[in-house]
Amino acid sequence: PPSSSVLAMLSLDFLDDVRRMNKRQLYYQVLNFGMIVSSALMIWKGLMVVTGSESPIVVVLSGSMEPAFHRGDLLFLTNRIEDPIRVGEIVVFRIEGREIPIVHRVLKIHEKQNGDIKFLTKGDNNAVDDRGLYKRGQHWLEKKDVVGRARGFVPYIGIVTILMNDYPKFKYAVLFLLGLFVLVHRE
Amino acid sequence: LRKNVEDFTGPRERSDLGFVTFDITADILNGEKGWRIIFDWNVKQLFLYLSAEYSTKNNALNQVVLWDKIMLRGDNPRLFLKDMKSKYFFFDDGNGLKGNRNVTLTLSWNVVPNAGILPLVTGSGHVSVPFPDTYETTKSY
Repeated sequence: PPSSSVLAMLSLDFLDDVRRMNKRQLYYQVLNFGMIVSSALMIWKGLMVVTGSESPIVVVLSGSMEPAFHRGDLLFLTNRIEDPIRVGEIVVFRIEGREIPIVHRVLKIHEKQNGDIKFLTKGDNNAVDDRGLYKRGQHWLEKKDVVGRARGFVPYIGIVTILMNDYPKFKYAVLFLLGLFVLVHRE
Repeated sequence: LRKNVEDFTGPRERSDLGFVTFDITADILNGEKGWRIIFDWNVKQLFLYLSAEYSTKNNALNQVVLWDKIMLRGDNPRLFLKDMKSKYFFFDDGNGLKGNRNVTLTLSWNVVPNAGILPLVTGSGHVSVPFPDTYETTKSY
């Protein structure tokens, strides 16, 4: 149990433990760690398949959708082709050539008979629509720009990712503690 | 849900620009018989929007949001808006508004919970707005 690991760390007994761990136990711990990482990756890939989105969970990075979403909120996306894009939906999209995903609402759509659609977006908290954000000469977004549509959300949880991005030292500290915990964990 | 509208189009370069004024009378809490309380403990706000939907020669389906409003939990759930002008320019992608008899206005809303699913709900009742066959150059908006 975690509490005994923490106590063990505090009394520096864990140093003796590590020395006492023979090679076999060390390999076992490393394999355990590898299994945890693989399982996590499989779950993530599974989510990608089920939702149809390349990034089924995103963190809100700006305040342009307040008061609905704030920086650090976590959004759950789907991007199924059977769900057509309609006004009022909250879409997460990327502008060609830029990495950062933007979370805004669909303001206008023009869809052709064959399903080709072009649409315009706007953040709830912005005074104007997003045309100024698009690439130069680009007036509309298309299906290919969409990462997904927001179907659900949880507040605050994503703050950890933002902190890890803004303060790399924090990221290294978290990773270090995680690695330490896995190695010392006795179960 | 009742809306009364007056509308006309003006020529703007290559695309039709529509002007719509409207009244909205809506009671979000008691819209339909047996409608459960929409502002329950998990609802943070409603994002309301009035959208126009129509078909043109250029595009099989067009939807344009004319007006929106954020209704927080605790705000008055009844809307009595008169002579509202659209918040956003009602540009068509082409000249599909002139003479278009079948432009439908609907009031919808996005329920934003404190945590959980984000559903889009369409209100009952919609209004059809026919646009005239000629452009209007003298009216001011």
